[in-house]
Amino acid sequence: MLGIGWRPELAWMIHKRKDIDFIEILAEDFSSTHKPIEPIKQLINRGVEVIVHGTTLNLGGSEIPNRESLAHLNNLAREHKSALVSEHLAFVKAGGLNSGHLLPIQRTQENLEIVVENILIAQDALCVPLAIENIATLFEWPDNEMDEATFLAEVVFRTGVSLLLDVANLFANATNHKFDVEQYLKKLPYEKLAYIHVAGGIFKGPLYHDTHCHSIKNPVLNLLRQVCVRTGSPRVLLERDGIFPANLDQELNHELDVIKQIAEQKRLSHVS
Amino acid sequence: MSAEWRAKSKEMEPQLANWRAKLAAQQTALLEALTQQTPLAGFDTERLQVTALSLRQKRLRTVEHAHPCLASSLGLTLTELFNEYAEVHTLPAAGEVTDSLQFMDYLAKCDLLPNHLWRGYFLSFGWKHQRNWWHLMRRITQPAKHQEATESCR
Repeated sequence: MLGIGWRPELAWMIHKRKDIDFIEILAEDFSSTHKPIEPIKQLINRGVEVIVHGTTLNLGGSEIPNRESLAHLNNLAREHKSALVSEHLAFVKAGGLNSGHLLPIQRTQENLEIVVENILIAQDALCVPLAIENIATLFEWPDNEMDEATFLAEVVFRTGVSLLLDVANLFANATNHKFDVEQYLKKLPYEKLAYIHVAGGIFKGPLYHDTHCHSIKNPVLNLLRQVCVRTGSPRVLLERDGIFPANLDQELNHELDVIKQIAEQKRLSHVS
Repeated sequence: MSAEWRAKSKEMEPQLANWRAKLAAQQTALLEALTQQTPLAGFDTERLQVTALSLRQKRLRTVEHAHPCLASSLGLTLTELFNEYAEVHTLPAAGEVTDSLQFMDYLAKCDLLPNHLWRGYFLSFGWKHQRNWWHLMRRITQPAKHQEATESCR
């Protein structure tokens, strides 16, 4: 199944593309009272599934998830007939400061307990299942007690939530923090996989930046292939959040074709 | 939440409260280091600087996206002015849209908002600040002096 992150700049392109099975809407871009806007309503009527994707629930933060944020996600999920809400394994605020972007949490046993409690509270308040996404980072906390895959798998196991695997984020972290992707992939609970994110990025010196504003790099597509071998028929969603040149339709359509081909080829080989 | 977890959570409550306080302190220290662009013990300083820069660029992109006319009017000066603003203004809790409005306020306060955008700014939300009414009077009555003030503010 093929998906794309819905953005106003991409509305016409998404409307024209008839093989889109699901879209994501960014929770922070819509108000709680929002009925589906016309382009999204048309997609829903066409049978396209909508997933509500949040970035500010702060599940990796020290405070329990904010009731208003959870109510907002619930309202959007109801209005858009969503079957799933997704969020990140990250923190975005602390001590009255707001980072404006997803930041990593220190992977310790103590923090694992906090994250598990936060996620259980969030899942309890949400009207639909929750999926948790791995994030891309440029730095690591000192004194991590476990690797990222172990932490992620443990969170999924202990909370029962689904997994949203972002292969671009995984590529970014494997590049920036120099770990073995194969070892990472071995530890993931694929039976809990809800869907996969793919996005573009750029290298700045030795570091890979997951920008969502550039084309998808080949190593990310190779990683998608590796994951598809393990999962059979994953739902894959393309994210593009910025830099919308005139020929973007062409670029994104090509990327969607490639993603679809990878997912379907592997589905066939998995069946046979 | 499962009944089993509820029971366990109750049991662990005092411990969790301590861990949450510790986590809050650690994360606040990290955010302070990122917003002030200062080193933090135990962290790779260069990586923190790259992250801080990336966070600031994301804020700037929101401004460009929210106010395309401002971006096209100021051109490269936008980055310079935004950096000056970001040195003293952290991202507000309300998020990046509020941040971009605050940046407009900052430009207006320093009299750096281009003339053709000032009117739109004033009518949209600038009217809420008393100082802008004085600016409006000044612009109407003393346009030449206003230009001098703009130069001196730079």
